[in-house]
Amino acid sequence: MIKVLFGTESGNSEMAAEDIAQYIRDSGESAQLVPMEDCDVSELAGAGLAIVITSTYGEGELPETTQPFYDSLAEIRPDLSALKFAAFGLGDSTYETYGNGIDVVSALLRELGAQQVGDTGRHDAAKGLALSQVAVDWVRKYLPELGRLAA
Amino acid sequence: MVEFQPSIAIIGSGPAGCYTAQFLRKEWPHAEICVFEALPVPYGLLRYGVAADHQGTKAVAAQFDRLFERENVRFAGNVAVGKNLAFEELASNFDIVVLATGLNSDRGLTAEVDPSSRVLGAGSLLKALNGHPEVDLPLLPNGALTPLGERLAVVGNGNVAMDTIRILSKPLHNFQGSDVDDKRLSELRAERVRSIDVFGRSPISNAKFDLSMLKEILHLPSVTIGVTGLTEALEGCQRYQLLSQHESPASDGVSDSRVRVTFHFEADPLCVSKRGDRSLLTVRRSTQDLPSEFEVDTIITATGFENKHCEAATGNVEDWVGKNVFRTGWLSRNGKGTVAENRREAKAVSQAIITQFKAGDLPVCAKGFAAIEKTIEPYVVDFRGWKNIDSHELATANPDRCRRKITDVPKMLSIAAPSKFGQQAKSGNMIRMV
Ligand SMILES: Cc1cc2nc3c(=O)[nH]c(=O)nc-3n(C[C@H](O)[C@H](O)[C@H](O)COP(=O)(O)OP(=O)(O)OC[C@H]3O[C@@H](n4cnc5c(N)ncnc54)[C@H](O)[C@@H]3O)c2cc1C
Ligand SMILES: Cc1cc2nc3c(=O)[nH]c(=O)nc-3n(C[C@H](O)[C@H](O)[C@H](O)COP(=O)(O)O)c2cc1C
Repeated sequence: MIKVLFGTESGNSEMAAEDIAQYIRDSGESAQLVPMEDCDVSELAGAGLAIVITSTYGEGELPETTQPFYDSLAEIRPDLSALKFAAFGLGDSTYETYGNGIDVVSALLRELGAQQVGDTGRHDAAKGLALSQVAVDWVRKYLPELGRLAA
Repeated sequence: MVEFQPSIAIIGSGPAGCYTAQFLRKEWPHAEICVFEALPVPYGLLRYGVAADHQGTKAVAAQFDRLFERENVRFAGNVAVGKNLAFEELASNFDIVVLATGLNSDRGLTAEVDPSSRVLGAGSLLKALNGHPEVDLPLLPNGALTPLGERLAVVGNGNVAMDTIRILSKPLHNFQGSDVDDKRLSELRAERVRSIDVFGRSPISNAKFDLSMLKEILHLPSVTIGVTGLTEALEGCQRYQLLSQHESPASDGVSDSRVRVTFHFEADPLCVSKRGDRSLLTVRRSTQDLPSEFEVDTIITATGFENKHCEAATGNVEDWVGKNVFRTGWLSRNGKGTVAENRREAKAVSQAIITQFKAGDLPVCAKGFAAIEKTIEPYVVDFRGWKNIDSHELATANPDRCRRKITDVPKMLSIAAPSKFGQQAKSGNMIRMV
């Protein structure tokens, strides 16, 4: 089971999460969509494998539903050494702090012991490429590895 | 037993209407949901407000496309409720009605304005540059837009003011990748813009614009910056730090081809009068005892939005009430908030609808779309019709542009559904939108 966690403000990350989860299911693995605002961070270590998706807001800050997730991770500081995760970020390169949100979240997850799998995927809204396509192309690349880890 | 699912009509296909459709669809996978839109094309101010050179922000449209393409939400375009379909007929045939019609006009100035002076709304200006079919700007006898002139004033300090300043001062060759209406942009900027004076009532610390919007202007190679009205030093306030280095009005460099953009904080417009060919804006400034006068060619107001019902062919939305009628988006928030804020509110409104419906507080068993289908049949453009327009706009884009918008409704109709509307659709079905 792969948990697909997303934090969003205008809904794009949720759409990316849905498409990634669907692709995982179509490939024969199971996936569960989890909005970050509903995620109990003390149970995160037990997830085993997660895909973490967030956008960036303000001046490189976290979107509204990622912020509380981040804050409770930072406060509770669960031991995440049993967690492996892959990261996908949404942003817009016309902002100086392009894609900062996912880097901030990934850094905290690693600090808490989680191990990142693969390179961080990125969607740049300024480029005009379809988000779905970019998200699915990214997960396709890592799915064999994720599938092995999930087994 | 299958749970009964209501029939839902959403009026307005802007972000507020579309997000509401999204949340209601999640709750009710089989409910009939229809989004009515006055124009043949969807997405409201996402298409016609959000600046043409901010395509990244417009990308949320991909979420909304999905509703109509995959999730069985119906798009009924070219149907202005109150004109092509009576509100009462709609409201009595759907279990739930959501009004997401936005606001149709710029609020303008509260100060006294001589009607012969040249004052226009930033919303009208940005709509025109976004290719809206209704243009609410002065025209020359030959039908071209009247040039704005060399000296401009912008009243307001929100993000719409920042969009206006950027679009009017950015080099014309720097709109790559946008879908700006090039013809209108070059008509409006036919005379080289030399100065833009920007007036905000608040001190810099309370000015509403986002820092990133200010930075975008500061980074333009084509502007020089000036500032007045910084009454207090604000360490730690980033906008103060960025702007205070430019204190005093930008030098009037006649030889300089750059646009001088001067931000005046704590400056409140008192009145607008006419002086010769120009308009005279009188401003009270906290730093000066006597009012200051600014002589400009055009004054652009970016002071918010409102509904002007006298101008709407669709009647007064304030009269559209009922137990099963809900409101969301700019209509309910008085023209405040970003695209994302409409999502937040749509979620809350959807939750309220679901709760009331489940508690049995709402009428049920209305006939839904089938009951009004005949009434709107002569007008309606479905989602496939919009996709035809969309493909056409993408395919005919000029080099360096992502799209070329069709700017008149009859042409939109003939491309949406040639067999239905023919090649010479009449323009009688246009409502006054701006
Ligand atoms: C110039 C400008 C720039 C902006 N830039 C940004 C930005 O960069 N980022 C950001 O986040 N936000 C931006 N916004 C704000 C954003 O556009 C709004 O938050 C959002 O569009 C409001 O959504 P809405 O659905 O309430 O209204 P609207 O988007 O106005 O949609 C209302 C829709 O209802 C339709 N309608 C009206 N009456 C009827 C009727 N009688 N029958 C059928 N249909 C009807 C209209 O045609 C329209 O399509 C900007 C706004 C403006 C004006
Ligand atoms: C007000 C605002 C600020 C933003 N700031 C940034 C930023 O600093 N860096 C970045 O990469 N993207 C920024 N973005 C772009 C968003 O991250 C991008 O549009 C993304 O697709 C939104 O995803 P979401 O709908 O899941 O929130 C900003 C967008 C908005 C509207």
